[in-house]
Amino acid sequence: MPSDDKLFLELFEPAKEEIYRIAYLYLKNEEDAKDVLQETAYRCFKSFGRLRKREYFKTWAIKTAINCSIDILKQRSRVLPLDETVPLESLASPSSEHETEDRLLLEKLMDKLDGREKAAVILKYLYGLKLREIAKALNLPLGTVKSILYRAMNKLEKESDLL
Amino acid sequence: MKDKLEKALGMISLPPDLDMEVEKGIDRAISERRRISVTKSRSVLKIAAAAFALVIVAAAGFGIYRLNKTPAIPDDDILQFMGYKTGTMEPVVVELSADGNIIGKVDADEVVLSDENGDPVEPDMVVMMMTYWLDENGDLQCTDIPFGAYLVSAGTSDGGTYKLKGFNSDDFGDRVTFSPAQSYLKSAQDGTAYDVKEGELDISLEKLPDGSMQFVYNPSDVSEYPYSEITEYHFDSVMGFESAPEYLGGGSGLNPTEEGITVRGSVGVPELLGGSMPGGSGSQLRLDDNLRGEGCYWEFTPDDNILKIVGAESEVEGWVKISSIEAKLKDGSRLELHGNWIVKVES
Repeated sequence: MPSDDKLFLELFEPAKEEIYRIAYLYLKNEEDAKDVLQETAYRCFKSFGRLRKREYFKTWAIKTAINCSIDILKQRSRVLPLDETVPLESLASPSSEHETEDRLLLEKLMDKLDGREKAAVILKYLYGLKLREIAKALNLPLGTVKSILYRAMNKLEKESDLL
Repeated sequence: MKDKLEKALGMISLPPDLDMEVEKGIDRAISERRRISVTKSRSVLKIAAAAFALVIVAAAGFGIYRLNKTPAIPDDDILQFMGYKTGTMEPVVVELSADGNIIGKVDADEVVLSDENGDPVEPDMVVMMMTYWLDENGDLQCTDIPFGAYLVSAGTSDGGTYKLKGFNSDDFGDRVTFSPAQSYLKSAQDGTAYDVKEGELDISLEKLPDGSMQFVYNPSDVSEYPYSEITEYHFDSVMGFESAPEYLGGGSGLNPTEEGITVRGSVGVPELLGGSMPGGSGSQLRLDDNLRGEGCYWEFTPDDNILKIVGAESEVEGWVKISSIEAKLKDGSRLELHGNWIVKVES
């Protein structure tokens, strides 16, 4: 196995679960999320040689996964309505008050935010990307990202004290 | 917030077979990589070589106007052109087989163009993407130019804005966007062509107040690619025209110069005809439905970059598509070319 391929596997392995979960956040079902994981592995492997800074691998892979998820949503036109309930069987049952809050946040992420809002929240708060970097990743003007993020946070904060 | 998001995401259960999905994705990429490594250089060279044929046709035009009677056919299947490498005037031999394949030196799956000594030659400029072949009558035919086929030589990696000369029509609207799907960037380091995925490279043509167009790309995107200098951008499609022409057929090679990038031949025809090609009064053009007129002729000057068809009637103004040119030249010889070009109608 070429050394680059081996390195790719080493870097992708610890990221795969997060990729799956983020894909699930978008697509809300296991099969589609697994498809995104496969597609992300495919796209990242193909483009790995172009990635100059390997320390950014995980963020790069997550951005790719988000784009894959959005692509699949577009292709399949299977955006679920806002009041669609999250499939319970795929989510762990909350066993404490804290977990109930986590669960509520997750459901809001899934159901209240559109694709770009999810991406902006994930990239900013989970991966610490700067707004300019998010704008680049999502191919959006900086001002648009700011307003998307503002709107997303409003949605998440509404009717609860989650954040 | 990070902590809360991590915990929230952690609520999503993981299926047991994630590794299998990763393996499938990688397997797909590996099998595709093997396939591409065989075909990529071929397709790139084929495009380049086909373009060469076009340049060579123009160069050879001094002595060979009647292209539907092939100038040199080594055997029944192969048409051979002796021409000159764009820019350097270095002699190049291009052979075309009856099925449209470019034949130079054929080495396994890779097609290599060779010069008159048999040494491999890699073209430094592609002017137009076309495929030529000989039909059953031995006539030279060529494909229509693919929709918006473009090959742009940039020769720089620092990004920036380049002014395109030759796009001086209001008909192009305010913005033209290249869709980089199935496109590639070509590395100056090793000549490798890298695929460009949509969204990875922000490239657009924007109209300036003076009516000319400028070519813009995002330097930070370009820096993602692992080479110091990009020599070529190739785009398979051009989208976003707001008005006529309905599409931009044809392709243009763009020359990096001290002033920026100069469109070679605007949309093909002037380059094809060349500045020294005998045009002028007396030449005849046979045009498709967009243009009509017997006895019309073209005027072309090297600095103009726009082919003027004088005496033709047209129901449209500005840039129009023509699909064939049949010209009777002053010395009585005849030039016939097929393909799609955009020409500007002068009223």
